[in-house]
Amino acid sequence: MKKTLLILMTLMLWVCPVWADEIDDALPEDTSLQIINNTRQMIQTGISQDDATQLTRTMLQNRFQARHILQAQNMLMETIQSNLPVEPVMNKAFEGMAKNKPDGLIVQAMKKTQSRYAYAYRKAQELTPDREMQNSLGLSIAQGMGAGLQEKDMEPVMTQLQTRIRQMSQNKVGELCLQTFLTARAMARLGVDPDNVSDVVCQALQNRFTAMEMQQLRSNFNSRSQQMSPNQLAKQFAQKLSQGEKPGESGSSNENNAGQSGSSQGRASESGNASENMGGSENGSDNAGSGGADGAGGSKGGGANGGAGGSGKK
Amino acid sequence: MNRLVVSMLLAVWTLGGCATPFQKIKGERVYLYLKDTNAQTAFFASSLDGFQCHPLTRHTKSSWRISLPANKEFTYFYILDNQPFIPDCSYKEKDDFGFENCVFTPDL
Repeated sequence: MKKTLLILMTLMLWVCPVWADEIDDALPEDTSLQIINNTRQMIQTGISQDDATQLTRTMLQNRFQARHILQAQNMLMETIQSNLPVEPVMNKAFEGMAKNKPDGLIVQAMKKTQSRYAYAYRKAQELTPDREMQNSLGLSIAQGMGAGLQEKDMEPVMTQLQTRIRQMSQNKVGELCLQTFLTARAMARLGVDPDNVSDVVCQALQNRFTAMEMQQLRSNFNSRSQQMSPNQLAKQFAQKLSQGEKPGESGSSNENNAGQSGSSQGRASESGNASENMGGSENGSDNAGSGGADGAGGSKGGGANGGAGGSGKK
Repeated sequence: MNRLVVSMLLAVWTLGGCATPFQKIKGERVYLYLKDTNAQTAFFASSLDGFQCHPLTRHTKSSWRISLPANKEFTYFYILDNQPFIPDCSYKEKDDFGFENCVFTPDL
């Protein structure tokens, strides 16, 4: 027993300084002990060392007040502990810094993002026990809210969905929910007023739309929104839906009708992926993307102030 | 009369020809274009890489261009003379700072 304890203590003494060096090296020399310790805690809770040190370093470079750095770090720890995705909240910080926003405002925006995701994932859990589907639903709900939908707009959709899914087999529930929220998200992103978004989607659910019909509705809406005001179009859709029309129904070939068939070709798969995903890109003179961006100006969240030649990742 | 028609056709051709689309997909890449806005500095930032600011390169005398992967969704904005700017894109989201971002989706 004593031997084991001795070995453990030796191991800890050997490991800790190495670890401390890595964190210390990644942060500026004059970083306060409290911030260094909090950064270590972030890593312990599961945030990658690169992300934790990069965010902290960038906040320090952007002259964040210490209390705002600690608030941002704590928020990320809370997020991961609540099983919510960290990337959107972290990206919000980088986005704010790129836009040269004041640190207090950035922390507030991070909080808003976190709340949105917390609400979205809670609602997703109410709809399906499937973890993977919960993630897809959570993302699409949160992104719809990021486009302007609010909880009060989501609640009627949730109520309609809950009524519908009671009458459905479990394997079809997730897909209908996903297509519903992707449709709401697409309409909100096109600039449709939240009330109108909710109205169209709820009408479609009342009309017992299947997942595929909901997808077709979105496709039709997307393509027609290029030709007329999305809000006007949404009102037309709502009106047609209230008359019981469905996409692809014969006799709905009038230009102003909601939900025509034929225009959805080639638009079959709208991904439910998070827009916060980081993506790679090839090198090239005008490329940008993680890892592939050339040019001297890459400075994550460092803002564009001071022109090219930002701090870079490392 | 003929002159009028020719002038009108010329005007349409000139306006149409000069209008730079804000995005074009070629294969697996999407090219985003930004018309010259007389800005002294122009940067691009997107969710693809945590909003790193990339200096834009000129495509023509009057436009800037940037190439990105077209197979995934991302949000983006420009920084022109230290101010955020978005073009007239179809898909937008609120940015929680009182402004908006453009959203690129592969299917739009």
